[in-house]
Amino acid sequence: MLRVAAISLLLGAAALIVGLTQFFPPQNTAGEKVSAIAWNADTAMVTVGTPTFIDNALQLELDSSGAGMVTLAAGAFDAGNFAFLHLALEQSASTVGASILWTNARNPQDSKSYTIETSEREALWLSTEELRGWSGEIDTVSLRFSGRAGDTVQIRDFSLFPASATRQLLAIKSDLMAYSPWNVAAMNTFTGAFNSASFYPVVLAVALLVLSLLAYGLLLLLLRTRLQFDPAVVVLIFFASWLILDMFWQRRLLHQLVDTHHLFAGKSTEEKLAVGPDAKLYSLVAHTKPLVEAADARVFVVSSDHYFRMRTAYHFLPLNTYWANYGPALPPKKSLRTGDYIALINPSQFSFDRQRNMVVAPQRQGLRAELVFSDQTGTVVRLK
Amino acid sequence: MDIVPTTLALLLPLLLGGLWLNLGMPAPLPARTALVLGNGTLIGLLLIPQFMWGLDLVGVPLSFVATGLLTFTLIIVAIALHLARGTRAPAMLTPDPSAFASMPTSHQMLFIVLLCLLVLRCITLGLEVLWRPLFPWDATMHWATKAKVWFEFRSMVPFVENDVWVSLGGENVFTDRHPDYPHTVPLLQVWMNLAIGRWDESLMNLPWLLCLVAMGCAFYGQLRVAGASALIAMGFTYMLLSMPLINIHVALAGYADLFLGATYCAALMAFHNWLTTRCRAQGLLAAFFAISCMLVKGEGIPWAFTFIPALLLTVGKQYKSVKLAILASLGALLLLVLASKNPAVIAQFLRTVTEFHADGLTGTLQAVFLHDNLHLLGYVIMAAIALGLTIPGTFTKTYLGISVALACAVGMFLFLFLFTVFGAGASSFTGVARLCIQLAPGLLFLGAMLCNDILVRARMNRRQS
Repeated sequence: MLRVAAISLLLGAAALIVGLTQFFPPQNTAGEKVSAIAWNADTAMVTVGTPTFIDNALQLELDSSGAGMVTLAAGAFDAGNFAFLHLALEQSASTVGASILWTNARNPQDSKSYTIETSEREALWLSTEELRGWSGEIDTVSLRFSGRAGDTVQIRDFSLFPASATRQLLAIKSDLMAYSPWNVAAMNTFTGAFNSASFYPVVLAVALLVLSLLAYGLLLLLLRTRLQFDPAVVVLIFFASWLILDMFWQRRLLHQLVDTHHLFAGKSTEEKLAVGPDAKLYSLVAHTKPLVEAADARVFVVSSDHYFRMRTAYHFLPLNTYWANYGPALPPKKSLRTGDYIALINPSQFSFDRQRNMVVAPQRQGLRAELVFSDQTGTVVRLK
Repeated sequence: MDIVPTTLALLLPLLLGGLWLNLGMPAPLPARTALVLGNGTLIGLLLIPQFMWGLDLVGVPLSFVATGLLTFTLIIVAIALHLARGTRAPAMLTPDPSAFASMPTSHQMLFIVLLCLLVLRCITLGLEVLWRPLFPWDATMHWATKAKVWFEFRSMVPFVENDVWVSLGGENVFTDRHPDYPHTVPLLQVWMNLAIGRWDESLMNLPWLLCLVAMGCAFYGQLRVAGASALIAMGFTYMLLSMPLINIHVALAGYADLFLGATYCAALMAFHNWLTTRCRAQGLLAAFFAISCMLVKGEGIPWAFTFIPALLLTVGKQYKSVKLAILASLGALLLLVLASKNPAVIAQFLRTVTEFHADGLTGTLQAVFLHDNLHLLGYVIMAAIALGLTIPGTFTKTYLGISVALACAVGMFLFLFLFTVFGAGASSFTGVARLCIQLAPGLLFLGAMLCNDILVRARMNRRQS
């Protein structure tokens, strides 16, 4: 039973590989074979940041505003000729963001970009078919980085390749191994794929499952004198497909665990919050709370950003906090009183006029207040 | 220094539920240890917040000592009853090596591999919980908000809507996005923080890991009671505990969906095994978990009421008075819950009904069959149901009860996302997958039993031929 299931799965996997490369090949508009546009650190143009050359690698130090940009020396080319892009990047900080930019040869003002979603960039294959706007004649292709001043990125490869079955499989492998840290939508859904992926992992797993079952059917047909139908084989094939899919998920969990450990392990709650995703909001609240005079003081949190006002309100607890999910950001003036605190979190339609010591907003009466604390994240005032 | 109080806070629910359940469960049961510990832990995790709520109601400040003493007293009583029964009382930990030993070597190896993978998964998720502070959206919007305030004031200070808060000037009331949400999940976080003695945004989420492990143990145990082999039970337990969105709800703890999924599944499993074995303990378990669904999250109310049609269609004439008593109790409880929330809730709900939401259907199908929320669960269930239909009497007799309950639940789920304003939660993927994890464990339990039946029939047919 185990042997038959294993053979069926192997045949199914082989059929899947053949099926993907033969029936879902990447677009290839090149009539003849086109040479790859290979990375050459010497000819690459650094337009932002400071380059250092190490063999064929280019180490780019981001500038004072945390920006960096490198353009591939390619000349204009037909986007359809290059179905795959390969990146090999090493970053000094995992927080450095990277995007691919390209401009249209006919209209250089028309530039498109794709923000690289995965943090796994050491050997990343991307299918250009999945990059929205990758079409027509392309004039320039660049890599743009954003991070902190002084962050470095080592570019070991940034090349374009024509279509091939091997590269297609490598791109699918990159899709399956892709990873990015948890975000605020993680609780709601897990698609398993980024926007640049060619296939959802579940689709590949179901394809493997169906092809393996068909392979089992074929084995039963060909070896009907020696082999009888056993539903246990079907169950095993289902289970193996689940297990294979789950191994990619387990890998992602372990990668996330490394990131979580790096960021939070060994810290107290306050230290974790000070470095976590709400670090700036928490810092504002942590500075403000000791300045709140009354234990039963009321705190009103206003911001145009729903997430910011919700999280700031949470961090202000257990002070008696108010934030509006819908409707007016603040209750009417008659419901406010002296001693109330208002946290104005950027961006906000409300602002504090330091000249007049007043909280102002369009189409609202001003509120006399005194400054309690202010930083880049926002301003906290106390009503007078 | 936190290890001792944290361990104690996690151990007390296990001992409370486990010891009392051990008294009620019959002795010779396959996988009895897993059954008792799993279901017992879930009982404890659900009961302790109710103790805290009850003590607060009579004016006792929230404290680890007060609730712990009450819990400890009940544990001592359970131990005393065990001692009183002497040799007639079954041991709580009764490993059954014979089930494992009787498996072929290849099956044993697969069993161990799956167990190791599960241990790895639990360790991965456990470390994530231990290191990460509270993260998810709704947790900081209306679950942990209550926990933080109640922990600070050592009292269940009332939460009200924004407009009520404004009209009262915030005097002795707080406000958050959903002030009427049940108290069970926030009180679990309060319980953990009371044990530690301070607000700790990581340790307070350990009950989510405990819930996952308990759900897995209960799932395994109940499958074995239902007749599944050890390997099949372990295989499906692995599938249950490996679903990505269920894992995410542990790693990014703070929501109530996992607890509701575990509670509803526990109710379904106990209900099915009560129908097939008429074991009183299973019946009581089913009733307890069904009612507890309503104490975990709002969706728990309709899930709890799926047992009404299931009961009506399955239990025989001789249990008419039992049926009526249960129906009356559930009806009274529903009225109580509705009255405590908003008497106009039914009218409010009717206003949310819309015409068919095509986007809602697309979103739902994508969430189940395209996205990796639940791995291949949708396909497994479809295949199991299709194959189950080939066995006469599967859904009309053998699995009538659990099938009716789940069919009602799935029907309500689909109605919610296809014919109400909540369809936006499906088209934008903000709610549909989360509701799926409330039903997924129960559906997988049914799928597991169908799969086991198919395999057993095939083995019997082979032996006969």
